[in-house]
Amino acid sequence: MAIKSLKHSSLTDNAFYRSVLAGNGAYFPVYESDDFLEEVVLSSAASSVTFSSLGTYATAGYKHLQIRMVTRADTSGFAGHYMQFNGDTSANYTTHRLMGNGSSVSAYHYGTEDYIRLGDSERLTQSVADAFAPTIVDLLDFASTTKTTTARVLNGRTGGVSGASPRIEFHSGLWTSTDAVTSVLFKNYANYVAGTRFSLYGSKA
Amino acid sequence: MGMTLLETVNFPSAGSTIDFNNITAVAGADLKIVISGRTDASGIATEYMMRLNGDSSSVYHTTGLAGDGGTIAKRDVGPTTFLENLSLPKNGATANTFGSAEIYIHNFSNATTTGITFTGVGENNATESYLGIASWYRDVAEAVTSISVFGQAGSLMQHSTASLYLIN
Repeated sequence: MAIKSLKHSSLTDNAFYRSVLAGNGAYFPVYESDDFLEEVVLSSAASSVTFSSLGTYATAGYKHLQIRMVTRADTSGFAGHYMQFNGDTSANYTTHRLMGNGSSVSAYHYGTEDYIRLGDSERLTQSVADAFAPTIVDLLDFASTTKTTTARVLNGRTGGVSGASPRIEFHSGLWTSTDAVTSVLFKNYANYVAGTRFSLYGSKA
Repeated sequence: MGMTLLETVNFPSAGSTIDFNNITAVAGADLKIVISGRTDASGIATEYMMRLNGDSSSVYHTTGLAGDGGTIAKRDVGPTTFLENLSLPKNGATANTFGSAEIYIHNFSNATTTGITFTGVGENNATESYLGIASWYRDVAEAVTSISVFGQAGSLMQHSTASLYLIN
């Protein structure tokens, strides 16, 4: 803690403080959280991206993870993207979804799938040029071996050209395993284009 | 902007509330709470409820959207005696599954009406599962010094956790 206020009179006037801060500002332990851990920025198109060292972050004391993405896909069709944990490609995932497109809202359930749905990437020929769709995924207590893994996901896309309306989506996702999450794969039905970015953050608790 | 861990509440056994007390004022800063929770009540999901500064009077307002896997509903209630959102799993949800919620309290040290945003998801390996987004506010002009979060039904189960972060 840096001492911000210390005057000669503080020492000689016999001032009495009930707080050890003695006129200084509030002290918070230096325990920064929400640390940037790693990032992938595609220099060429790719069908998937994997963060495979999550176990090391758990060892380092990180309790929660957040992945922030901006994605665009090289397709004029469906550009949904999704995630899987620990290389598990079996039907052990469920997604619940809220979606609004500017004129209507809807809710869905997708059960017994082999991935958690994350909403849409921007589409190469149906979205505003150079737009990348943001997606934020929160994974709390990702290293727990007593809990299944629950994901909280916020996604949006601009669309803007025929065939792809703007959307905002809010998802929950479940991986029914109680294994600690050690890797996470992000994959698009098409390919992510160059410039697509995946940033991994961790917070301690 | 940085994010600093202030306190974590763990539940080595079931407990009724998440309490953060004696929160020190920091001008212009925000608070963020993340909760991994589940209650021991029967059924699929219940409401997160929150009160500030120990105030149980009718000063709270909730506006939001919620889904149950097949339908979506809007909510605009208040004044009530708590803030609320239906996304906390009960013990009838898939075994070992905990909800994920984030509560963001804006400019908490300012002596004005407190504005809060909430996002929360339960999960359940079936159609019925609840998730929601809400805007909350407490219509009292004072700084936030304590926070209490609890489930409408049941106690928070072992392994539930909640962490409070300062953002400035």
